[in-house]
Formats: sequence, structure tokens, C-alpha cells
Amino acid sequence: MGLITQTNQAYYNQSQGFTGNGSTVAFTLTTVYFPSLPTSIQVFVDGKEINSGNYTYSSPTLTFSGNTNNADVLESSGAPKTGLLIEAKEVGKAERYGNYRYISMQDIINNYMVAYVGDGKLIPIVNKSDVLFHAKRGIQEFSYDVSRIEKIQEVEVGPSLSIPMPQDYVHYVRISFTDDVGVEHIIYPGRYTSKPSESILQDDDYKYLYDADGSLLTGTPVTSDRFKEFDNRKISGNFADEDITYDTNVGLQKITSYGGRKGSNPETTQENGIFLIDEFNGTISFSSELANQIITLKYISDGLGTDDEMQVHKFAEDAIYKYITYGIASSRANFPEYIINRFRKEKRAAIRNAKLRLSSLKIAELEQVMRGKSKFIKH
Amino acid sequence: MAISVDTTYKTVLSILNKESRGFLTPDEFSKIGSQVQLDILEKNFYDYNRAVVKSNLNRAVSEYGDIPKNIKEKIDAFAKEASLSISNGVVAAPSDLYKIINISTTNRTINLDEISKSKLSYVNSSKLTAPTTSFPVYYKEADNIKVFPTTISSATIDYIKMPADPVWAYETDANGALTYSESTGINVTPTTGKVDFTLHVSDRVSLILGILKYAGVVISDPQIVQAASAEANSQIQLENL
Repeated sequence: MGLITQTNQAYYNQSQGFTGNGSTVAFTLTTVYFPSLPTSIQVFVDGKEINSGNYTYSSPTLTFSGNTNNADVLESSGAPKTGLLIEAKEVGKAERYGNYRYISMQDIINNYMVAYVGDGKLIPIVNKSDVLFHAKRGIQEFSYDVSRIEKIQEVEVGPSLSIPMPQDYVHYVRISFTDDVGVEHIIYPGRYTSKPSESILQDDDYKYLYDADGSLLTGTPVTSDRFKEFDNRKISGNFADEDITYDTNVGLQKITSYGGRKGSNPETTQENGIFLIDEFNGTISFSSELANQIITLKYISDGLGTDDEMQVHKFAEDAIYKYITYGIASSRANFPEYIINRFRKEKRAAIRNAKLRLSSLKIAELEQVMRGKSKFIKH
Repeated sequence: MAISVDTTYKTVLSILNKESRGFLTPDEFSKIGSQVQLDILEKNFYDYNRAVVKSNLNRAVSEYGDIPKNIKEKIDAFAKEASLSISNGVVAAPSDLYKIINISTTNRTINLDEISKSKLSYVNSSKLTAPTTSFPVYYKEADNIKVFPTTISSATIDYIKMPADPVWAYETDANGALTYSESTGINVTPTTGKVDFTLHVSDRVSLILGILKYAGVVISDPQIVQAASAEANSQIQLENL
């Protein structure tokens, strides 16, 4: 049996088609055409959208009634005319295409239980809960460094200069701001300041203050407030040339200091601003020049945030089976060490294979990049 | 195919009568038969285990010599399926349940995983293993089956059923002679009619030997017990080769 169960129409159009015969008024929608039956639909007959006064939809049945304003395609009973194509299209369904690339968590577990577990196999018996645990751990590990599906969030930075981490954030890949023409400019992490998670209150003698329970009294950290007011150009050197390099009225300076940035630190001499991550409170803060800028935050999650995410790319399908096998075998007592080692090697080889496949190296693309190899590189 | 209760009873009687050992009443036969049937069923599980372990040691053969498959067939004679209506995660186990094979939901596409009660809280509280409708779990508690998540309302259970007690039904003629009856009714004892042995036909010899052993005890004849035991032992030795 083929793996595709949806029709082409269901996949590309999220709709189900029927043909009118001039008398049938009720049509039943099926899950062959929709992953789950729609709650709301649009109806077209012969390409013409039918207004909702001429039909009712109560999942899964679409029932036509009357033909007000639609007499050209509907009979007076509401039945679509003979031979006309009826299309029931799901409303508001943001279909994610390309799911064929992936294998779902449920399929992974079922396939594993069928093919790897049983009498006469290397894993004679195992609880499905154990397989589930190792499969989910595998998806997490693969999300970090095998399949690496990067999520991208676009946010405008407000006056607070701080945004919360995405709900399923594990680590950032790249943070950039988007300019007027949509080009991203990478923002680098600032290493010369930080976001204290708490500020300890002290008395005039700099002694710590405590509350009645003996806990330290804390306040709002001032480090970040001070940095908010800090002119980042003092570090980046991003001043207009005349402010720092030379006096344009003095010809000699123009010659001797043109383009000079004596003693500047290349790490900080960029005008894109910086970000700071407050790991404790789960926020990302930006330097003041990024206020009101559109930020794109590329980050990786662990692939377990929602049920839809719990899937593995088919290039890594073999690797996840090997990962599970090794996980189960290595946590068992009295399992021969040489077999565990065999599983470990198989796992590593399969993961390496998956990484190679997923790295998506294409000869033509490499060739295009390498065309620049003969260019003279200036330093 | 089940083993005919009539054939078995008559074979047992013929052995006992031939040797002038004594008479076994239908009621005694029924009670002994029921006991022996359970014995053989339970033994089949152990035999299956041994056969699988042997086959895992590369001592397996195919087709007629595929012992695990043959023993599985014997056990499958007791396999049964039933629907479960689950309320708040609890359902009464089928009254004839002997051992659970599998519980599944959603048109048999999702298997429920059996977990041990001691691990339930860990399984429930771990976000990686918490039961969901896609990965549900169950455990058995006394006569109930508990299912998680509790939103699951129906399931299908495959199980090994408790074999029904064999009954040799009979009618009594004017001379008081007992005649085997295939039918039911007020002239038949019991009125509900006969019940065959559920055991696979290949267990017929073991069944008769087993009944003879107990019959020897009932009729106080140690020779019967010894002869039946010796025959049963030689069978076991043959199986262990």
C-alpha cells in the first residue's frame, strides 16, 4: 500500500469535490479529503461561490436548500445542476505542505515495535513507554544537531528594549534586525555587560538587608538601566568621520587619519547593536539603537513543543530506530557489552549518514559559491 | 478445533473399564476434565517460553518443526476478543479473562501499553512518557482494568479466556442407562447441554492421560496413576529432546 492516503485535491486545495445530478441535495465530507473534518467550509458550484443562505453545513454533511441568486447553478430544490462540479473547501485551514518528508512519532513507535521487538529479535521484550521515552529523547537530540529545524520569530522591539523568549525556545541560532529593504543584519551578543537577575538591597554601610523571614531584600538591577542609557557608539566607534577621525578643515589630518580607527576592537566596531540574554528570567534585551526595530529571532526548539512537531525527517528515520535500540540496550542489565557496542556504532553511523543527507550539499550550489574562489581577498 | 467431550469421556471409560478399574461418573469427569484442561493450558505457556528460548539459540526449524508456532496455535484456541466500555478510566475485565494479550483503541490502530502500578506516578508525571490518547497505558487491578488517559471511552481487548468447564450431557433411559446427548432441553442433564474441551486437538493425549491420573486417585487405584504418570513423563522427555 502506498504511503499517500490523501487525494491530490485534498493536499493542494484542502477541498472535496462532488458532481451534481440535479436532485441530490446532501453531500457527506470524508476524512479522506481532510486530515480532520472541517468546522467551517466555503462552497463552490461550477466555480461560483454559493452564499451561505443556499446551504447548511453540519459536519460531515453539506446540505443545499433553495437557489436564491444561484439559479444558474442550482435547481430550485437547491440541488446542484447535473454535471456541475461542487467543491467544499475548508475555511481558515493553514495547511503545512510537505509533511510527506516526515515520519510521525506514532509511526516511529509502531514501526519499531513491529520490526525491532519480539521473539527471536535483539530486543525480545520492551515496554512501549520505554520506546516512547527514547524516541522523544531522540527527537530532542536530533532537533539540536541532526535535523535542526530553525524557527524564526519576527518581533518589533519596544521601548523596554526587551522581548520574552519564545515559548519553545531552547537556544538561539541568530538574531538580526531587518532594514527597510528586508535585508537582515546580524546582531551580536554583548560580552561587556550583563543582565543581573536580582539586585541586593544594602544599607548605608553597604550591609545586606533582610526581611522578617531572614531572606535577602532585592530590588531592580541598575546595570541594565545604566546600559540602556549608554551610548553604544562609544564602544562601536560608530561616529561620523569628522567627529573622531579628522578635522575635515585640516588637510593634513585628512591625509593622515582618513579611515582610521586606532586601537578599536573589531568585535565591537559594528553598528548593528547588541543583545543580552537574561537566562534566569527568560528575556532577550537589546541595546538602545535597536528600539522600534524589527528583529528576527532564529532559534531551535527540541521538537516536542506540539504533537505536530513530533516527527523525524525521513532522511533520519533509520537513525532514530538505531538511537532507540541503543538507548534500550544500554539501559538493560545483563545485556552483552559487545552487542551494546554494535548498537552504539550503528547509531553513530546512522546519525552521521542522516547529518550528511540533511546538510543538503548540492553540487550546483557549491559550484556557484566556489565561483568566487578566485577573487582577491582584501584584508 | 475443540476436543469432543464425548470422545474423551468414552476413551477414559474404556481404559478404566477395560482394566476393570471402576467407573467415573459424568460429574466427576467434568470436574477432573476442567482441572486437567487448566493444567494443560498453563503448561502450554511454559512450553511456549522454553520453545522460544530454544529457537533463539538457533535451534529453530521451520514448518512442521516450528515448535513455538505449534504451541502458539494451541494457546490461540483460547483467544477471544471483546469490546470494553470504559468509564472514567475504569472498566470491569471480561468475566472469563485468563490472561490479557493486548488492548487497543481507535479501530485497533493504537495499542495500550501495560505498565506496572508502581511506575504509574512516574509515567504520569514525566512529560516524555505521560499517557496521551495516542500513547495510552493500562494496568490490571483485581477484576478491573484501569486506563490512562481517562478520556478514553472504548477499547478492544484480546485475551486468553478461562476455558469453560467440560460437560458430558446425557439422557437417562427407562433402565437408568446414560446416553450421550448433543442437544439441550429438559430431558438432558444438564439442560444447557454438552460443553466440549476448548483445548487444541493435539493436546488430546495429554488430556486423557491427565484425566486418567486424577481418575486413578478418585477410584483409589495407584496403578492407573503410575501408568498415566509414566506415559506423561515419556511425553515430556520427548518434548525436551
